[in-house]
Amino acid sequence: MNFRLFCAQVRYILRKKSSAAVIFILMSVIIVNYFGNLAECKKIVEVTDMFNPFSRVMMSSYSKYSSFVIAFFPILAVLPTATLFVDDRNTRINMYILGRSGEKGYYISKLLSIFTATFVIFIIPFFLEFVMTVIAFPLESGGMLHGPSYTDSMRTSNYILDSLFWKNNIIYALVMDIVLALAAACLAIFNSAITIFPIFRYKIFSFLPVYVFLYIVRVIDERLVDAGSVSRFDYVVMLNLFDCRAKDFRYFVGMLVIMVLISFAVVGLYSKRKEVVL
Amino acid sequence: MKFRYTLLISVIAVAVCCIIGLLQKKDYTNYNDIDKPFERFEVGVMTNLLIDGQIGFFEENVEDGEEFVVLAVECIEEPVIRYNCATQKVKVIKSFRGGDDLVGKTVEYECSKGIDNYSVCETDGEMALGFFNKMIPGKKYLVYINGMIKDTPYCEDTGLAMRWCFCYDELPIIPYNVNAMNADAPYTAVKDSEFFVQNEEIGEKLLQVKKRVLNKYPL
Repeated sequence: MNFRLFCAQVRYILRKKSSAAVIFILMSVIIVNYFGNLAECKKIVEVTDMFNPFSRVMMSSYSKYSSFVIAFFPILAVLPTATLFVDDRNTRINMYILGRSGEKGYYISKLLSIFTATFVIFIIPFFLEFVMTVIAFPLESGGMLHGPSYTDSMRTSNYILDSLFWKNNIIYALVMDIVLALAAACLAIFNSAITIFPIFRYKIFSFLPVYVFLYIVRVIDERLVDAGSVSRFDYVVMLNLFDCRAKDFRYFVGMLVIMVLISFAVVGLYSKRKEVVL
Repeated sequence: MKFRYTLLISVIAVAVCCIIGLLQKKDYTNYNDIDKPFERFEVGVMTNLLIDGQIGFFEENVEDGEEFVVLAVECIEEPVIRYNCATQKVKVIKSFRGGDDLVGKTVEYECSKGIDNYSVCETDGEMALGFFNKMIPGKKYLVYINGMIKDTPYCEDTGLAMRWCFCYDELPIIPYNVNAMNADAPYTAVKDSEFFVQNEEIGEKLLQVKKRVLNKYPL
């Protein structure tokens, strides 16, 4: 893989207006949510009566805005990168890059740059929200909405990595921010890999693969496995922090890893086939 | 748009938000930062109406109940008030029933399982201490718990109205006469008492239970 090509592509994605738009959309929701939380703390005043500050971050199920962000999470994840291959084909810039780096180098560096850039686009707002939460809210507050007291919440919690949360909620918040950004990166890389095929001639269709895939796995999750009693692949349950519904996070991580592997396999096979044709 | 501009705008917005948050943070109060926070609350007092039923239930179901873990613990520090509860760090000295793996470990014992800050009373609110006073650091106690909360150092509460917890030392019992309309006492009035009781007769009944239980589970 050509490292300079990779860096150039990361820079190109980060400079796109759609990348700035995603960051600003996320930052806007984070700031609105933050002021809502500040207003609530102002009413309560006593630290021991307040909610745990990380339990009200944007992606938490206790935030008023989480359902909005979760609903649009896949589209936000793919927005900066979904049309990259279609654009390259339409502008024929791929011919120029292909001539310099070869089929495999071009596609692999493209996928890796999509993964890296999407991770950066998502981790920035999440990390800034983390910083705001640590600075502005009292971290010893322990209220959670699903339990009447601190110890009751501990007893009944069923979050992803909840034992880490009760041991150290700062590290938990950091880890979950990284997990969410990685999930976005996996969705973006998968979506882009599917749009490599020339049937995606129009940009509007390049946003669809991730939704179709997530819809299919969600249907499988609800209909085939335990009739929906335990969520395994449903991104709405998995990406919603502090969701207490029954879930198995390992399946979701497995699904993301498989999405990345499928992406590289598709790109590898496609570039090999083109080399044979040429 | 240059990425650095996007980043700069976001960081400036966050800095402004943080300043506003920090200014507001100065006005927050915290019970754990003040001296003797318990003295701002009222506590429930055991009355004639309830005591016989509670002791009967303890003798039948709790004292020898297999589901409860019986431990001798040493209190390490004053309670920490948390969201709607208060916990105290204790060191497990001896296990009498269950919880053998806890011996030598420091665990969090729940001494209050409810703090109501919104009640209409002269104090800050009402604290559910389960009719037994908080532990005194350095003293040894016999406690009943329901095991540990999974993957945490927190003891599982028994879920009973009375938090059965006896000090191995002799502590005073200070009755507080409550009436039918209000069975609460200001904590300041009973802060040195081992049990919160309406009269000496109830105190005596609880002392009998304490003597019997501590004889059964000596240190």
